[in-house]
Amino acid sequence: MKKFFVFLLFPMIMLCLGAEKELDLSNIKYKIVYESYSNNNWDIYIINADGSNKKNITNTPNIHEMYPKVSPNGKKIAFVVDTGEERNRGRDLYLMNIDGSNRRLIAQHGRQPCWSPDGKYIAFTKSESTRRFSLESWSTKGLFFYNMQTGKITEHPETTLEHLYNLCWSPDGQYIIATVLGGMGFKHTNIAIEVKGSSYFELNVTGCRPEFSPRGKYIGWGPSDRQFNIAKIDLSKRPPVADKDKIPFLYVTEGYEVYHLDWSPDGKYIAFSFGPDGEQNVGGMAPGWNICVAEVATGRWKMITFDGNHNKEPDWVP
Amino acid sequence: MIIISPEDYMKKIISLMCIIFILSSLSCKKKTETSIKEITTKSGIEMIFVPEGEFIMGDGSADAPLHKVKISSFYMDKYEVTQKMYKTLDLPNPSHFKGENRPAEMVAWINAAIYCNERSIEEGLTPCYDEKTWECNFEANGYRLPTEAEWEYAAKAGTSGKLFFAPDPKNLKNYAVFSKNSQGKTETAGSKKPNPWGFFDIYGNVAEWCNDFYDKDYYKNSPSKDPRGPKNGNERVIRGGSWNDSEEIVNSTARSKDPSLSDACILRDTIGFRCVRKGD
Repeated sequence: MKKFFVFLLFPMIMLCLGAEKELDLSNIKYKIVYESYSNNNWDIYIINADGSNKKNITNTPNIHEMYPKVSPNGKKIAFVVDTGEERNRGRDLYLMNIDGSNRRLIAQHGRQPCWSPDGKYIAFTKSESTRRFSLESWSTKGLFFYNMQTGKITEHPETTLEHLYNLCWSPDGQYIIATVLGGMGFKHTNIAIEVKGSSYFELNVTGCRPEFSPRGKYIGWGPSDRQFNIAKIDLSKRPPVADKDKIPFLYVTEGYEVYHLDWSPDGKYIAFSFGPDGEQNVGGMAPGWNICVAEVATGRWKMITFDGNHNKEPDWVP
Repeated sequence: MIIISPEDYMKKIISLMCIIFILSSLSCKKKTETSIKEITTKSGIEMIFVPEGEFIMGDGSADAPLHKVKISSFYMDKYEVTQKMYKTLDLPNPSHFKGENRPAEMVAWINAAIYCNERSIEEGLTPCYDEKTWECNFEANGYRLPTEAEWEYAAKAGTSGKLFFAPDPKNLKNYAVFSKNSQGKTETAGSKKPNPWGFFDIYGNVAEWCNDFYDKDYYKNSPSKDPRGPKNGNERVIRGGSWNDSEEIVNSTARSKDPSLSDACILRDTIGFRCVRKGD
């Protein structure tokens, strides 16, 4: 109870200070899906953008479902399923309808799904180690594409890609941006990868988890675990992101973290995860974390969940 | 009645002394052989057996006051854990400076502990780390990270002071990959001279995770035998300095810390580790 109070303390202070004053989310027409942990189990929930009408759409007490990514037409969700425990845990990639029905396996050892803008493909990575499970987001090997029409999987022509995470397909369909850690000669940076070619290059963005705005003109990312930045991006230029264009968007005090930024389909809002120091990786323990929504134009934000059930990885439903 | 002449008496005394001297020498020699010795583990990794002993820990600085510490015997890796050793266990290698024989870096403390557990399992030993709490079972016979005291005992290798070699700091380049002689990255493990007990890269190349949580005042109240660090904390101790550190850090006694226990956003290409396991 005491811990719960502490988790709520900061947002309550922010509320009192007016950081979230007057932010009305009730007119947003989109819903949000996210991963949440309770009763020793991960499930995927769907919720209105103002926090109303929360619903568990997987509801499987013995199976962990996480990292929901909604198709561009809003009808399907690609997500990961974990089975087994600790070092023998396994992670696979699944697909289901937006209401949780008709779930099916699409790639064993698949991780980090991301839809093509036309909804015809799901890009994903695979677990790097076959010996033991790793929660680390970067513990991946390769870049793959699942064809929604044929069900076939093909690998990206550049087969040396490794340690990619947080894939995000550019709205023009030409590139996938991602964070890379300790792979392809990079220490830890963000890159753009040609979807049909074999080249990749840095975005000039330090930190992690870049996400395109709906029209692809901006990206948002986390330069640290307590901040989001926004910047113009032009993948035809080098570097694609100029230092002068980087704008701090949101910041929380020490002891708290923000992660998993995702732009609303109309580009007016950003959903994200927020909570006390915790484990941001997919399926990582993050007690006290909640889903929040920020208004891009003003930077005002508010929590839309309050149960603190390790709520992470929000994704807007178009 | 047997009468012994003074000459015979002296001869017997001298003979007896010779026997005692020879036996004593043999005894000392035997002790030396069972002191520092190298072994190769089941998985082919070279380790050095460090016998129990006592040493003066610290250097008299504010966070490292001098104090006497007793250490139980243990085995410690002769080299920093390399990327080849990491890959042998099919573990994801996060290193920035790729190369099979370079030390693994960008390793979060938790992933170093996972490596220890996997190596234990590989050799049929009992893992030391509880992967839910990350508490270390020091009684288990598997691999773990060294305590800060074990690390310093091995680094000093029977010497006292900050440096294990003759106190001319110019000699550091012969024993360590550090900021003044590195090429802005790690080097092959074992590229410099070892310390007196045979540990390579105990200074520099990559700074090494210890098992202990960091507390700057810990030495003031730590137990005199096998100190194992504070019970809780947000940062773990790192020791020895790295390719990117200066002389102030690259030595036997400088204490450092790092919070990258599991957060990929703050992993460092200057931090690696070596393993220990308890003595027989």
